[in-house]
Amino acid sequence: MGAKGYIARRAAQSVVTIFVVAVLMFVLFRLMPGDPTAVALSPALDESVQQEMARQYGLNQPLHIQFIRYMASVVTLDFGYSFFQNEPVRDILMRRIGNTLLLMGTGLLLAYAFGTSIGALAAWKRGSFDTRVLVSAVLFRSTPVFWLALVLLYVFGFHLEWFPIGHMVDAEATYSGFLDKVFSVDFLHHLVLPVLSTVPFYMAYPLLLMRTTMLRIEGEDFITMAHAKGVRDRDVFAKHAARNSLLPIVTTAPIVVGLAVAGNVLVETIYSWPGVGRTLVQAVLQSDYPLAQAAFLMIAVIVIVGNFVADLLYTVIDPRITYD
Amino acid sequence: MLLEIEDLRTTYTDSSTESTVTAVDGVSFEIEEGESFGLVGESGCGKSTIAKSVMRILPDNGRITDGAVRLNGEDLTELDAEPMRQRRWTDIALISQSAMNALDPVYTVDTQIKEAIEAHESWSEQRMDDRVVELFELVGIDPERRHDYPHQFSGGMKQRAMIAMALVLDPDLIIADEPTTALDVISQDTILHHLEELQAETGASMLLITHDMSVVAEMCDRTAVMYAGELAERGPTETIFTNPYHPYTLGLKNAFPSIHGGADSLISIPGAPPPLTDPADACRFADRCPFAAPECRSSDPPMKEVADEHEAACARIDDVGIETMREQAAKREVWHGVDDAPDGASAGDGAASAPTEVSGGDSA
Ligand code: SF4
Repeated sequence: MGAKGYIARRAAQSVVTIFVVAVLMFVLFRLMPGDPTAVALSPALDESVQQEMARQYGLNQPLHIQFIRYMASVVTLDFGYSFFQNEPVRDILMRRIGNTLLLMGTGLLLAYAFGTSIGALAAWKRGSFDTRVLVSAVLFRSTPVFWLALVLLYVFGFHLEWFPIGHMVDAEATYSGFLDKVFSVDFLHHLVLPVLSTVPFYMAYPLLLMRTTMLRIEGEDFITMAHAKGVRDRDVFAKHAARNSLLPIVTTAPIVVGLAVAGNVLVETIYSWPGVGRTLVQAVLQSDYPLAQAAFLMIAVIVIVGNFVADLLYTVIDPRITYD
Repeated sequence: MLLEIEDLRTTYTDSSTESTVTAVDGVSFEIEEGESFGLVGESGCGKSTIAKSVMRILPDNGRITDGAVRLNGEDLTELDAEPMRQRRWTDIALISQSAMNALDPVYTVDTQIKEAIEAHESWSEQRMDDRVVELFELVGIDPERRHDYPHQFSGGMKQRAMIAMALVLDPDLIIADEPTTALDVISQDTILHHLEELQAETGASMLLITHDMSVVAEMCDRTAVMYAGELAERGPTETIFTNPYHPYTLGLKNAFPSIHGGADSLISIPGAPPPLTDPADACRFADRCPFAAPECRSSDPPMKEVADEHEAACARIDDVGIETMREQAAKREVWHGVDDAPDGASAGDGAASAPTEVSGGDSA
C-alpha cells in the first residue's frame, strides 16, 4: 500500500474513533448524577411550559430515540440549544474553538521549539549545562499546571500588575475581526501568563526524550562516519544527530497533546480564557448537557486529530516507514 | 613515506569508575605511497582504535596520550580542530566496519556522498552529480539508484556505496576497517577484489584492518599483527605467513584454514587477552603462550629484527629456536596443554585471564 492509501486508512480510523467516543459520551452522560430535566425545567415553571421544553430538548423521548437523535446531531454537527445560553451549541463552540487552539497551539509550539532544542543541546554539550537542564526539566515535569498558573497569576497579575489577570483582550477594546484581535498587542499581553503557565510542563517531556535519544544517536556509526567525512561539528549535530532524534519526538507528540488538552482546561478556567475547556467546565457545573456533550466531543476530536497529524508528519520525516 | 605512526598510545577513560584502558600502547608502523598494509588481530586488540586515532574521531572518552601520526610528514595529533577536519576525507577516507549503520537512514545515498564533497569543496551541483554517477558505475551500482535511501540497498550495495563515498575526493589513504565482516562469503570476495582493483587504479594507499588473516594474505603488501594493544610482529605479508616468528602469529595461522593445509589442522588459541586497565611489565601473550618462561614476565619484550624487514616482539625466539617453535606450534596438544597442565614453562603467577572488553574499542 502506498502513502496515499495509508493516509486514507488513518483518516478513516480517526473518523471511526470519533464515533466511538461519541457513543461513549452518550452513555456516560446518561449515567451521570443529576437529572437534566430537573435543572433545565425549573419546577417553578408552568406544567405546560415544562412539557414544551422537555419536548423541545427531546428529554421526554425513550433512550433509543434520544440516541438516534444524538448521533444524528453528531453527524450534522447540530447539537441543539444550550440549556442556559439561549443560543445553538454549535455557535457557542465555534466562537471558542479558535481561542482554545490559539492558546494550546502557542503553548505547544513554544514547548516543542524550546524542549527539543534545549534537550538536543544538553545532550551535545554534556557536562554542567546538561546537569542544570536535567534538574530544571524534572522540576518542570513535576510542577502542576494549575499551581504554576495560580502562582503566576498572583505574582505577575495581582501583585506586580505586569499582566492582566484574565480574558483574552481588554473589556473596552473592540476589534473588527478575529485576526485583527489576534495580532494586537493587547491580545499578546493577555496571552503571556496563560502560555507561561503551560510551557514548562509541556516542554519537559520533549526535552527529556530529545536528550535521551540524542545521547543514543550520538553513539551510532553514522555519526562517527559524518565526523570522519569532515562534516563540520554543527552540521553533524543538526543534520544527523538532532534530525534523527526527532523521530521519537514526533511519535510521542500525541501524548503531549493529550497533556496539553487537560492543561488547557485548567488554564482557561483560571485565566477566564473564553475557550472550549472553560465552556466545558461551566457547562458541566450547570448540567448544561447539550453544551457539555459537544464540548467534550470537540476536545476528543482535538486529541484524535493531533494523533492523525503526528502520523502524517512521521511519514514525511522517516523514509523507512512502510505502509502496511 | 605517506603515513608514519610512531609509538602511538591511545587511552579510554571510564568516567564512572575513573579507570583508564590503554587500548593502543606504543604502536609504530609506516605505510608507503600506493602500499596496502594489513593490521590483523582479535576484536578488542585496539586495531579499530588505531583507525580512529589516525582520523582523530575517537569517542569523547578516548584520547591520544602519546606518540605521533604523521601524514605526508605532518603530525596530525598536533593539528587544531579545523585543519584536522580539512584533512579528513580529502587525505584520509574511511570504510567503516559496519556499512549497515554507517549511512544515515534519513538521507539518500546521493545526499550523503555529496555531503562529503560539500564539507571540503565548492563544486557545482552538476559536477557533484557527475562524480556520484561516475563512482556508482565504478563500484558497480546502477547510478539510477543513487537517490535511494540506505534501507533500500542490500548489504553488499551499502558496502559498495561506502567504497564509492570513500573514493569521492581521491584520498591518499583509505582506511578499511573490517570492510567485509557484515557480508556473506561470496560478497566478501567480490568486494575485496573490487577494493584491490580500485586501490590499484587510484594509487591510494590502504590500511586494511581485519581479524581475518586470509583477507590480509590476499590483499596486503605488508602486515602487522596486533595483540592486546601492542604489535606482536610486523613484516612483508609473504614472510609473515610462510615464516612467522611470534608465537601469537603462529597460533593465529593455525586458526585459518585457507592459507595452508586443510580444516583438520585448525587450532584455536585457548584463553583471552589480559585486561588493558593496568598492564603489567611483561609479555602480554604470556598467559596463553606455550613457550612462556619466567623471563617473559619480567619485562615487556620490544620489537626486534628477526629477518629482513621483519620484526617480532618475543623474548624467547633465540632460546627456543624458531624451527622448534614452528614445529611445536603446529601441534594441538601444545596449545591446549597450556590451560590443562601448567608445567613450569607456563605456570607463572597465574594472573586471571578473563575475557575483556575494551570500552569504545573494537566491537566486531
Ligand atoms: S615473550 Fe615469552 S610469552 Fe611472550 S610470546 Fe615470546 S615466548 Fe611467549
